[in-house]
Parts: sequence; C-alpha cells; structure tokens
Amino acid sequence: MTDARDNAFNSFLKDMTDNIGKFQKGADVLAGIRDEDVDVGATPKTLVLRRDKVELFRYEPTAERTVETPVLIVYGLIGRYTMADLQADRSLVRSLLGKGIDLWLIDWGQPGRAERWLTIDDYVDDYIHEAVHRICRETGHDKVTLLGICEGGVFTSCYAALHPEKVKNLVVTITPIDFHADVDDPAAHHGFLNIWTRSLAPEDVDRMVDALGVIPGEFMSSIFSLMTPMRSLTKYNVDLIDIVGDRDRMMNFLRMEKWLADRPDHPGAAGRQWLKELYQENRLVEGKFELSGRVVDLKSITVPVLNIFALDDHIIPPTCSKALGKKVGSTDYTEIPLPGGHVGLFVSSKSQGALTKSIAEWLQARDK
Amino acid sequence: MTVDDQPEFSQMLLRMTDMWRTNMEQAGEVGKMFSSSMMPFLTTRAADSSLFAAAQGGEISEAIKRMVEGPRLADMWNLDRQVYALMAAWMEVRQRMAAYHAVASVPWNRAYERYSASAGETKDAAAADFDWRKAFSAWSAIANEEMIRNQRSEEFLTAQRELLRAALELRTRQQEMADSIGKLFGTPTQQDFDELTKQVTELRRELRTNIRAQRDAATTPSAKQSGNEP
Repeated sequence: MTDARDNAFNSFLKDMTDNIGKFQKGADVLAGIRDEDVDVGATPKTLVLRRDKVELFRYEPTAERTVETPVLIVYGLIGRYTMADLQADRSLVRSLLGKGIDLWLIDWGQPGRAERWLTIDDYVDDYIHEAVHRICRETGHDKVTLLGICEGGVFTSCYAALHPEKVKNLVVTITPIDFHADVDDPAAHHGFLNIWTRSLAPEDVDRMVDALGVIPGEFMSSIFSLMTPMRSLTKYNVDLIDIVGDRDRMMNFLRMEKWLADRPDHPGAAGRQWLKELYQENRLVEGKFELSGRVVDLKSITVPVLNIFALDDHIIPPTCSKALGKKVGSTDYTEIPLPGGHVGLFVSSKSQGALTKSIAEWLQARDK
Repeated sequence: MTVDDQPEFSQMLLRMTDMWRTNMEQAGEVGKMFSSSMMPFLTTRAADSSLFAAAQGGEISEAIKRMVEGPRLADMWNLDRQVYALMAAWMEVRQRMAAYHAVASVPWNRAYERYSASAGETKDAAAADFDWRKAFSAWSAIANEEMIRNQRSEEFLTAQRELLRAALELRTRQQEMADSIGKLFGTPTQQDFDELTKQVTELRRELRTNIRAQRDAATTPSAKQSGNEP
C-alpha cells in the first residue's frame, strides 16, 4: 500500500514539473510582447484644448447618438484615466460610445513638482470650468453631464455644487463623500486609506508636501500594495502560473500593470486639501469645504444624480460613497451598488456590461 | 593642542570624527561599515523585549543629535552640522525601520501558528489528496487575514507613522545638503525652483481670474443688452 505522504509528494513534484513547463511557455509568450503592444487608453480621440499640462479630448463616435448632452469624464489625480479605457473589450469609454454617447475626457497629464502649488480650487474652478465652457462652445449646449471617477467624483460634485448652471446631470462612480464613514463598514480589508490617513497628524501631511513638493506616485503605489498584502506578494509568482502561458490573459495582466505603473505625482497643495481637509477633517460632508472662497454646499446639487459604487471596494468603502444620497439637494437621486472592487468595477469583464448599461439607460431617460 | 583642550562642542565633534575615521579604517568602506557596526547594534535593539527600544536611540545617535542641536556658530561648522543632521536622520530611519519590521513580522508568526494547527488536524486520507495550490491558498488566506488585522492595530499605525516621519526628516536633510552644495557651485536650489513655480502659479491664477471675469461680464444678459458684448 502506498504511503499517503508519498502520494502528496509525488503530486507536488508533478505540479512543479507542470509549472516549470508553464513558465517556459510563458517566457516565450513574454518574449513576443513589446511594451508598445500593451496599448492602454487606445480608443481614438481628438485633442480639443490644452491648458498647462491638462488636455481636453473628444472621443470619436462609434454609434448613432442616443444622448444629446455631452458627457465629460473626470478622473482623479491618483492614477490615470486609462483605467476607464484599459482594453477594447474592457473599456467603459468604448462601451459608452457604443451606446451613442458624446464622450469627452479631461486628462490631467503628468503633474510633477512644477505643479506643487495647484489646489483643488484650480482643478475645479479653472480646469474643469474651462473644459465645460469649451465643450459648450463646441457643441452648442449650455450644460454638460459630468461623469466623475474616484477623486474626480469629488471634483465633479464640487463643480456641480458651485456651478449648477453648467451641469445637466451628475454621475459619480466609486467616489468618497463622507471620509469617515469607513467606520460603518464591517469588512476588515476596507478603508485602510481612511485609517492610515487619520493616524497621521495634520503636520505629517505638511511635512510630506514641504519635503517632496508632491505626494509621489510611487508612494501611493506602495500604499495601495500594502492594502492587499498577500495579493501583492503573490501576483508576480503564484498567481502568474495560471495565466503565464495564455497570451490573451497575459496581455490583460500586462495592461493592468501598465496602468498601475502609470501613477503621476499628486500636486502638493491639492494633496494637502485632499488628505487634511477631506480625509482627516471630513469637511465636504460637514459643509465646511471651501474652494475659491466659496463653501461647497452639497445641497446645492439639484440636478439628477447617479451614484455608482462597488460593493467590495477596499479603497473607497461603499459607506463613504453612499453618504452622498443624504447630502444632495436633488430629488432625482439614484444609487446603484455593483459587485466587484474599486478597479474591478471598470476592468472586470463581469461588471463592465452592468456599469455601462446603468449609466447609458439612466442618461437616456434624462436627456430631454 | 589635544582633544581635551577644545570647547565641548568641538570635543564631541573631534571624538566623533575620530570614531568614524577608525571605523572607516576598520571596515574599509561606508556600506561595509554600516553593516558591520550599525546593523548588529540595530538588530539587537530591535530584538529587545520592548518592541520600540530600537526607536529610543543609542549612544552614537544621541551624540550626533546633541551636536546637531548644539549652539549654532556664525561662520563655521554649518556644513558640518548639516552632515551630522543627515547622519542622525539616517540613523533614525534605520531604527524606525527596524521597529516597523518588528511589528510587521508579528502576523507571519501568528499565521504560521494558525496554519500549523489547521494542518495538524488533516487526516491521512486528506493528505493523500494533497494539493499544494489548495494548501497554499489556505495558508495565504490565513496570512492575509492576520496581516490585515495587524495593519489596523495601534502598534502598526504608530510604527508606520514614526517611520514616515523619520523618512521625511531624512529627505529634508538630504535636500538641505543638496541645496548647500548647489549654492557653493552657484546653481539654483530646489527652494529657488519652488519659489519660481509658486510665482508662476499665482500669476497665472490672477490672470485667468481676470480673463474669466471679463468673459462672464460680456456674456451676462445685462452686458449683452447694454451692447458690451465683444
């Protein structure tokens, strides 16, 4: 009779041999891929306006228009917009274009030390405001729909509150509004960013900005890695075994890596506001957040609002996003919780369809 | 003139210089010197029963700190002071790093204990169907849970905060050194660059506010009626 441990050992050896074979095949696959093949943010678009490092693009239509009001995508300053256009079959941008939406995009570019003095005031009241003006001029509309993602959702919410005359609808996705609501989220792996930022003194944030001029992209990357500790430790080894020999899955992985690596520095002054005034002091939800000398009153948002969040978002806990519902003045408020995580909501093949459908149908119903 | 004839500040400086020179001679290079003289010291402190003993500093770093915090002279020792401030900041980072690693290692031990306990309960029949992926997955889930729990603990938050502060202090001292050297050679410093970008940002902001105000004034209905539209 064979000893159980012998069987286990034989099984392990067989697996190991198989895996060595997979990695060899994977090496061949990798050798055939060049960096330029890993194309993210590839949906065709035209540059309409450049202001400092900020660029406004208009996407080329791919279907007959079903929503007349132009939609402006506003991403945050942490990471790049390419998350919304990672690859052809996992692209919110492509899917919305396919639904007949006139889509525009603000790309913040690559802020560096030269942008250390830019504040959220500048982003909301200058860059977004000018982009909206330009879109109105180009399209003949007097209002646009804003689609904010993450920190961009905070920017667009502030804009909608301060410039209601320019906003037709507000769509926010994975957006923090109540920065202290993570305490109501029971999941232990949710809300590290909130806990860690609150564990610092306000002077620590000042020290960082004073010393570095920015909140470095590499620093944010390391913080994000720490939030998913085992995933970060296994993604380049154990987790690769299953995908390394499959070119398509490998390309998906590499596109994601390219997006993760493309993390610009967060302008210092805006970083102070983001971490101190919002994450630490929670001023937005308390009605004490000021931009350009004006208090951002979320009750001033009276346009239709669509709030989409991910149920397993470990970066922006769902409770932080849901808080918007009780704060806006709008009587037309819709909340759509979707399965998935912060990034998965945009790049997972499962959630893609639901996300696009939710947004497109909601917009079509309000485009009168 | 002997060492003992010097004022206190200079005595300390000379003793430190002598000590570092001796170490340099013994170890041959800076990196080797650090690993042979400082690392055992730091590791020992990190392994103390008091977790944060490593962060309390030793005789060497205390001596350097005293020199950095000593009275400032008008015309001498300023660059030296910056060098020692940099050294003190570097030592602080190493100590905080050791303390951080000590805290960060706690969940690995807990994960090992929990996984060992669960593996010990495995029956022979289950062992026959051993699958390393399943086993790894089980271990990984336990380790992840323990690390997440640890990363929410007060000990972790303190160690992380102190490490960040030390790292930023080091970066500040490095920048001071770089700026001092830059000044020696007449090149613009980081501070000069920041001042310049601040002025550009403020000027641009002012200009654009004015342009926007003019545009808004021109497009308001009252402006149109009065014939002010361009």
